[in-house]
Amino acid sequence: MSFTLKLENSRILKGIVETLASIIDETEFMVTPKEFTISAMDPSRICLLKLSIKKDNFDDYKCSKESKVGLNLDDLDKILKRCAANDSVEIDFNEKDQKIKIKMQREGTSRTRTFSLALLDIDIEEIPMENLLNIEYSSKWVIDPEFLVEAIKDAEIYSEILNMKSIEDQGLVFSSTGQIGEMNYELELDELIETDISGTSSGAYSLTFLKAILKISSITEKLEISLKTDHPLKMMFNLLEGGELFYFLAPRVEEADFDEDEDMDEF
Amino acid sequence: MDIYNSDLHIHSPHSIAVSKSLNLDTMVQTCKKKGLNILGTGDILQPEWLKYMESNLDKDEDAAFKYKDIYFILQTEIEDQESIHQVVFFPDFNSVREIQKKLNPYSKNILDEWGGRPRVNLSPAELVDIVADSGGLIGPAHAFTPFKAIFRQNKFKTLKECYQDAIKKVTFIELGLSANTDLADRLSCLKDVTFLSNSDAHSQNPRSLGREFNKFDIDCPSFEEIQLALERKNNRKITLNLGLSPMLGKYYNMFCHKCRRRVLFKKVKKKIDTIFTQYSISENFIIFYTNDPAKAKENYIDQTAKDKMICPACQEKLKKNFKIKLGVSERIDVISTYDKPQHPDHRPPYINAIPLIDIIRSVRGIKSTSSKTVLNFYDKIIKELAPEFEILIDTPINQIENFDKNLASVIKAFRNSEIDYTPGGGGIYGQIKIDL
Repeated sequence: MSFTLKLENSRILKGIVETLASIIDETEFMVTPKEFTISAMDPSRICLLKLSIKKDNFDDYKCSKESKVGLNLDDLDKILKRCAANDSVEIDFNEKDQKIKIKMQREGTSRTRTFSLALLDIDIEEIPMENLLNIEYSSKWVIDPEFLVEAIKDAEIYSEILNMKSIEDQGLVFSSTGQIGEMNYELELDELIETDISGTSSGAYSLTFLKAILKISSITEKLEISLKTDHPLKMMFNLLEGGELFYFLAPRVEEADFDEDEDMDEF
Repeated sequence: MDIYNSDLHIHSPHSIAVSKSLNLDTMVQTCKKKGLNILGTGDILQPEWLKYMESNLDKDEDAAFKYKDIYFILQTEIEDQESIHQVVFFPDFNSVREIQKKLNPYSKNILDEWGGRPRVNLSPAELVDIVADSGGLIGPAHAFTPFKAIFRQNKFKTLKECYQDAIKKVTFIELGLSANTDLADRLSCLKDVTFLSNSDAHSQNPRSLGREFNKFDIDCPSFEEIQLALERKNNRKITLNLGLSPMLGKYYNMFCHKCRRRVLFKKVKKKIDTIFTQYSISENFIIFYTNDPAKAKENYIDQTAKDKMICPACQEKLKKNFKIKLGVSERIDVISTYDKPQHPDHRPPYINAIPLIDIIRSVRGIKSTSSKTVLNFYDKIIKELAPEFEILIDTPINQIENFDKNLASVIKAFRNSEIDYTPGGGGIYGQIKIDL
């Protein structure tokens, strides 16, 4: 098993890895003759993502047989941060080496730097994505990611949660409530790029996990968000220069706590 | 032969977080309320506590130590170099001093004022050899708790792994508040050892002292008879373990190592056929709602056992990653040999009890464990009806009804195993759920 993935511009790969590293520590790169994919669930069980980039979106793509390699994303992120935005980057894997090689080349020069990264023998959970991908959402819209970033920053003043509500023929409302007050961020339909909203849907979502994924907005061409009450929020990022990232975020619900007591015994 | 109700593991004011008013007189008072006959002295290697016990305990004609009409077994708890707590019993004061002298070169705190539970720089096997060679008895304390226990996460899975060749000298394990016989007998390596259910009390409060005990069927309350019973020789034995219902223990359920929230799984109200659906974060719980909570929990435990699960509450609130740790029940799921308990023939029954004080608190709607209203009511019912465990187990319900109807209905539900629990975990006790 072996593969080579090359992008003339490293910005996209850097952006992807930086974003994923803020959500998951370790993951498996799956490279098939047709596409490169990563499917992962974060270790707190709140979000799930699937990245796929087709063969044609790479500048060079060689893979004759399906390969899976386990990697530490923090380490890969550190390596890719050594890459300038317009450096080309190439990832090579050969089964007998048990590591990947990351080769960076400065634009217009023959100067190359090569880094290696040991593979991890990780026990990756099988993630059944199909049911999630097949959910029929009642509300869907395309939005400028900056609006969402703004709403998150507003909501952070009050709580850890962003409430989202979509209303047919009206638009979207982002809101947040805390002890010191509350905020409302209203977007009418004409502020949205595309909309398909039926009825009213709502959900409350963790700002931490929304912020983490929105790191990718700088390399996003189009962000589509789907909402359905009681269901995971679905975000689809169409990446610049090809590729898409699906992100599912579990809704947070309120539950009254039980009374507790403590005393001084240790065990 | 006689039956002796025995709680063989407590502490002294020379261990941290122990009530300053714990002494022989207050211990004896509680023993009478609970119906206990034999108590561990706690912390007997600590020099001042040793002196206190030596000057106050009398030896009776059977060489059993006695204060007023309660018997005592010389006892301590020691932490070894694997950070495992071990319960130790001593035959007499000479052996206490002998072991103290042998352990002193390996311990920085054994003679300290706060060295009630000394730490020794010895492996479990080395400690067992020293104790056994001087005539003492030793076994792991609260064996399954997530901290300081032999079977805790990332520690040992069998007795043999821990004690190696010294395993032959280990005749008992202490279950701990969050485990019972049904849970422990899922491990085949425990089939030959005797189970002890002790309180590990840090206070004379009747909610702590004697909340777990063992019924010993022995000839007299001496160390030698206790030893014979632990080794199940000469017809001496433990006939009953009585302890907290494990869900009431402080470490039953998995929890975040940092914020101590417990992780629970519940069925989602509206069926949604995806890998995950909803979650909630409250002051004490993280709850995942799924279509199949049992399956989701199984998968979660599997990942938690590999140290992979992160607390979502800490991520959201502190922006930091802290690991989820297995509780006693989940750790047993991971290391167990059997899905269902396989009790050996010698295993006595175990009663999953609820402290009477907890029942009174629930009936009265009072949170505090040291509420005067609760303690006065407890003292009154004990005085007028019977010791605590007789009330819980034997006293006719109509007699309790005459005293308090609501209390009687909860005790009746307890006897019929109809009580629901909110599981404890992360250092917080579980609770009974009652609907009066």
